[in-house]
Amino acid sequence: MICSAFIFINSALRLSHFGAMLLFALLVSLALACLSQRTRAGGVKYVLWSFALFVLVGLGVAWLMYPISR
Amino acid sequence: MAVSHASGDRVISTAHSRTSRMTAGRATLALFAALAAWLVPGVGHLLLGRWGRALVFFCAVSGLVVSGYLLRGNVFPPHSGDPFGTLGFLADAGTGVFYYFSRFFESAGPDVSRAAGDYGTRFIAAAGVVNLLAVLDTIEISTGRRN
Repeated sequence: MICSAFIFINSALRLSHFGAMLLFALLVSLALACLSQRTRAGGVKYVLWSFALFVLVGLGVAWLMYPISR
Repeated sequence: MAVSHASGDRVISTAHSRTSRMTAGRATLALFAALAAWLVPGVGHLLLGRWGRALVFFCAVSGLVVSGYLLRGNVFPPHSGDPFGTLGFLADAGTGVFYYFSRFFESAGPDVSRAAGDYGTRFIAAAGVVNLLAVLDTIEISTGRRN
């Protein structure tokens, strides 16, 4: 059962670059919110803000690097 | 007057011994919680009664590290020989028991020739760093520096 779950996850995790960035941003934002915020409302606000910044800065850097990509 | 001084001293010494016992107890708890938090992400917070935090840390660290393994990221060995390898090992070892699961998840070994493998390496290192921060958080909570 564990093996089949592992094979399922392994085949399901064919992430694109953007998908990997979203997953990374979400998980790290959750952990940082837990570390820095003590209230639930503050935590939720922090997760949303941090996640949005991760994605926006990632997209911004990607566009900055676009001219030198080829 | 002398009796009152003596009883006052006794009260102070009792308070001192109680404080030092509490400090020693807190230090032991902090050490135990930190070790548990490092070994299994989230368990340190669980021991301190922070169920929500424990769940979030376990999900975040395990999610990052398992994704990293499935993306076939590089896991640094203990004796790599160069400073970057040592730093990589320290970050990876921060994942605790997950470090030893790498062979189970990455049976085919790492593949950093593709971008996904490179991302995987970062995922695993980030998981380790996040878990080390969680260990520091457990120490602060158990010593009473944080509520």
